[in-house]
Amino acid sequence: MSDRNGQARALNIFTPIRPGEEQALHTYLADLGRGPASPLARSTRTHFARWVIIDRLPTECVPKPDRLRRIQLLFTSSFDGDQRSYLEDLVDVLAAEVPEVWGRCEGCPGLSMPAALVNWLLDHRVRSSFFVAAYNKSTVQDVRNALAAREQALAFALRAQELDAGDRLQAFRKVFP
Amino acid sequence: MSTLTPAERRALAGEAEKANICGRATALTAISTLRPLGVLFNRVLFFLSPYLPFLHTKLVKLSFIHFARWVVVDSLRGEELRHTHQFFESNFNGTWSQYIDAFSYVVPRELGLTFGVSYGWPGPVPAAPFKAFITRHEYTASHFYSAYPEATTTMILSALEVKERLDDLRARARKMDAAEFDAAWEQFLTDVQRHL
Repeated sequence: MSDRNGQARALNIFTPIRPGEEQALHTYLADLGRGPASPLARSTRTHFARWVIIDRLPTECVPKPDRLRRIQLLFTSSFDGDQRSYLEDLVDVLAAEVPEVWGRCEGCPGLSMPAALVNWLLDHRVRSSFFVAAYNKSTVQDVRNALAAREQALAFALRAQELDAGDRLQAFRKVFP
Repeated sequence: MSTLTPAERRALAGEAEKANICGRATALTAISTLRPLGVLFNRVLFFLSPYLPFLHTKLVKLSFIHFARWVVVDSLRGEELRHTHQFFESNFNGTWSQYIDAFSYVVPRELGLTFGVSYGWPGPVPAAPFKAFITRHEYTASHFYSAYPEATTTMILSALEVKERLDDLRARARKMDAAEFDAAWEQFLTDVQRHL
């Protein structure tokens, strides 16, 4: 079992949706802001995440295929740090969304008991078997800093062409103190 | 689905495609059912994966996967599962079709090892039946998030390389005179030019 690759972690949580809530949940999730407007952007430790409604299991070529008793809400995340502290942070920054998302699932303790909510989420976790991370030593902040540094270096390289040697060093020290 | 008109099907497919995309990042979520012997095979394979670097190396070398995972699911709380299932997720840049093509032709052995024990598996090549298999086993994300939607995997790896060398130059530049810095700057540009 491997939810870990370098400092990166994987999390997979399947929670049963209360019957009749599936469409409302999908509509709520689909209407959330995207990219920087996503509520998940409030989490500074989340590289990638998704909510997916699992309404069926495979039937093709499967003898006596499984049928779900309850449609499941799958939450997955690729993030920094350990799972418990990540979920503690996540339920805190998603205070407005938790009742509308996991609050539609069976047995969700609700935000009034954050520790119980985190335990409930961890109870519904399924561990990864094999986790691949392309930049497993870098946190979200490391990646953002690196992308910004690359842009700065590119801009400075263009500007440096116009400067003489002495000015170039001074300008570099000013841009990259 | 059989009651949908072709136009409705196209509209649904477009909606699904949009939901699985965040900037340059695309989400793929698929579940297949494992054959009984496949459960043991995949458990052993994944257990040994730290000692099988070829499994990681080629996938990372594809250079458009940010994060991917395989999850063997033999129980879900509140469900009585007869079978063991395999959940696969990828966060990648590029189109779905390019991704499946690359998987199919660049890492067929790895694909065969991880998916080959699923019911209905058509084999990694040719790509068309494999694409159809993934389509039939795929789920659309209701919400997909990327912390850096405009960055590809290659851009991030390049940026990390540039940052490391820039930090080094920044530290050394404090003690340099103009001539030394000029030489160091030229060397820096030579070293990072393919990353800018």
